[in-house]
Amino acid sequence: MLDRRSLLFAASLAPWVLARRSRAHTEDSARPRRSERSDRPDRALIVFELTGGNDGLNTLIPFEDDRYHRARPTLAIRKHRALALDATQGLHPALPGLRASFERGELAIARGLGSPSPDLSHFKSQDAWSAASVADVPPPTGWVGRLHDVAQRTGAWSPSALALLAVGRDTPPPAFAAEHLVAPACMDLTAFARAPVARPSALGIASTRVAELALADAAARDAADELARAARTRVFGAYPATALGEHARMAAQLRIAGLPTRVIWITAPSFDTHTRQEREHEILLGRLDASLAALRDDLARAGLLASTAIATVSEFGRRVSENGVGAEAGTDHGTASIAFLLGGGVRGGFVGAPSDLGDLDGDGNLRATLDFRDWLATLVAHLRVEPADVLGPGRVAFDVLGGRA
Amino acid sequence: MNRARAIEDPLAPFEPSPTEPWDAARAAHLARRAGFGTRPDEVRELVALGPRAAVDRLVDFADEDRELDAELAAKGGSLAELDNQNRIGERLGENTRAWWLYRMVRGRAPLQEKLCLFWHAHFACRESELLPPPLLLAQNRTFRRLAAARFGDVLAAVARDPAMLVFLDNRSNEKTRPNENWARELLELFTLGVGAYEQHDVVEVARVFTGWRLSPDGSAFAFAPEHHDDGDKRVLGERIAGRGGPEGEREGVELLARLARDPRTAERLAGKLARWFLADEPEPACVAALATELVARDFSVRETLRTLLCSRAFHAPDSRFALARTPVDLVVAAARTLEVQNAHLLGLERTTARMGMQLLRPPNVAGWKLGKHWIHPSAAAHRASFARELAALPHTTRSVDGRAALDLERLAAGLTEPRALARSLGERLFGVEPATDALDDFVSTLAPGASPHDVVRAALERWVGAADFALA
Repeated sequence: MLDRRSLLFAASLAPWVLARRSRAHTEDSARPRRSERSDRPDRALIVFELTGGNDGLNTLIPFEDDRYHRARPTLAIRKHRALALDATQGLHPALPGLRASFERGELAIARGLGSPSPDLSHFKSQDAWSAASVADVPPPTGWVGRLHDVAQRTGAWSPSALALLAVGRDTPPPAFAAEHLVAPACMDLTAFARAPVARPSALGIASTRVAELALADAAARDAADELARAARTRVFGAYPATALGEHARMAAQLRIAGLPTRVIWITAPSFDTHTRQEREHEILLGRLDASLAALRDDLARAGLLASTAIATVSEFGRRVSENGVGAEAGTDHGTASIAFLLGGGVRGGFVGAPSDLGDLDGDGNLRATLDFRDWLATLVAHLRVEPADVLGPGRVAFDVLGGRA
Repeated sequence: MNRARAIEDPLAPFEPSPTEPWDAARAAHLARRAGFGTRPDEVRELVALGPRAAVDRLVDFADEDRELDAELAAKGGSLAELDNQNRIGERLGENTRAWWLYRMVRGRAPLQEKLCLFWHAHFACRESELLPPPLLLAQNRTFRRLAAARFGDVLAAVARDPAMLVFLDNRSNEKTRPNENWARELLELFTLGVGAYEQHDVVEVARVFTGWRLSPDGSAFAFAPEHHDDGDKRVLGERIAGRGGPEGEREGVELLARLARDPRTAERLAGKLARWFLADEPEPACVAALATELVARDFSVRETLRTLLCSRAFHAPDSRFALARTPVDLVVAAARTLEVQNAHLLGLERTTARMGMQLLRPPNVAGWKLGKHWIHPSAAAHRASFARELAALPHTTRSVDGRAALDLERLAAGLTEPRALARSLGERLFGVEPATDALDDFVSTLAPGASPHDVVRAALERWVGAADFALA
């Protein structure tokens, strides 16, 4: 229990603080939640953030383009190794699961995805993606945080301390930053089992920081039981025995246990392949593919594939030309790249035109054909929130939703 | 430092007065920020010295701490023999982290260790298969040696540091295949900051540092003229004349010196020092004043910090408990303030890792975030667990060097009455007395007939687990 002063402050920041008090009397919190209007499960979005900048050209390979092979004598993947999707392009050989999804018509691939004002700094680009903004000084809130705020304000989502959750990391990602929300993040689903008992401030300090700390304490207590229930949920997918595989498994457990989590965030690090890219990228993509395939299978088995969308984001792609020779070769920071959206409610196929390898910018980088903010708008739209309300006027979702869902 | 400063100058020195006395609360604030926690003997010493001399005591640390070295050597094994490369199968990363945490918990120069952490977060290199702990240990010793030096000296050392040459790939940066990794972060994160340069500057800076690589055994810096691009370069609008042979190295040396003196570097460094030592979200006027001070002090971190720690802005009452602690600060502050022995046995290393701040493993080259970033539900659960573990440490002498981890007698300080015990432990941990209602609440939760030892443990868990302890 928060003391009175902290409670009033906390309630002004997070409506669930009060909501959970009234709900506690009437609702069995162990019951899986379904949306109030129908028997259908709530929609959810699972984001895989490929940090470091994933190399789009070696993920979706333009194997018929000589300019690609000329720019990358070492790293280029030949036609016979690529997993062909059509006559001119194919996936990296480490992505068989994604090819199967493509063939099932449940995978959309955005091409030429980037920023209208690209920046080669990881941090500047990650800030732009997190804030869904190309402003010189982006707003301090993230796109998921704003999505949460809008959905709460309009009543689209019922209040919950677990509406947003990052797994496999201890601190929430910058995209979760909201005006005051303290979104949870956890290494594993039992992380909150030892949440602190509520106590008055030791020093009686009345500051925003102390109220935020009290709110974080309360959120941890509120999340503990529901997450523990998810941790006990059985799943069957063949997850790789890697950190990413574990995190994908947690995402499946959260969905199948019926938790009210709308956005699950998973970070897949190390895509910054400046050196030794051939080996490193294959490992990275292989882990990603196996994790996605297992998660997809578990969701499909539980009848949750239609309500769930799984998306990738990455701050930029990589330079067209490789930077070295032999096993040491890598690629420096680039611009436009590709991204995946997988789900039963997704209309499979390609979105946007590939960047033109014959029309590079002054730094030898690709020009974007799609705006990354519209990709984020697509993810927002999947959650049935108006993209413009979250991302500003003019932002519209790509036409890839509403497949067979 | 008796320059006249305008009254609104945030860096004007704090002068004690009858309404704003130099007291334990102010000394404790100084100890928390310029070190780790509030060990009672340290706070008493700072109170006795007065504000100016107290800051001097912290800032003018001796570069070497022979007592600490002897203490570590006496421990033997993993902490004493970090440099012995022949220890097959040992967990070098864990041991190096434990060694450093031990220095923070027990060392006589807490500000030196805090600055060492500051540089580790600024020039953040991450342990990996390619970057093993011995290289990071060597880098750590460089940070310690130059902890309060001029920024240019730190930067010059880091550019030749083997760990950095590996981490940002400059060892593979050659004229036939330049690699931009080091060049970009040098401009973006280590000196000027985003917006001060263009992509072509990054390309040109990469060319300047071609040939900066490692000696054949991988343990030292070496310049290889045959891999250096000796053509002319143009960086930030100025021409750098290309030089061949061993002279080629001078291009990089001179560029580093120029970047280290740039006013934009001063502003970024000032902002960072302010966020570490003054406030999570410092007033722009404070940062600007601190940048001016850096330039005036020839970028000496020691002199700039002396000014900051003496300042009115630093000693303003609302500056207290306004900074969110990082996990390392929180854990070390608790262990140091409670004079925990055998700090490595505590598993401090594992605790900080669980909390998301593993030394030698910053999340990326930008280092750890600060401030509000560390306030979140997971942190709350970890803080509670840590407080419980700390309070449950053994007080009997079963540990390797015959000393108890937790000296309950000493912590009780001869008191037996529960409320007095709780107040005394609160004063130790916060440097100020706990609030009446918190003391009332604490006493009401005690089991009837709790022994003084039980009360000490319960109070310790309560105060270290309190939200207030997550602030400095």
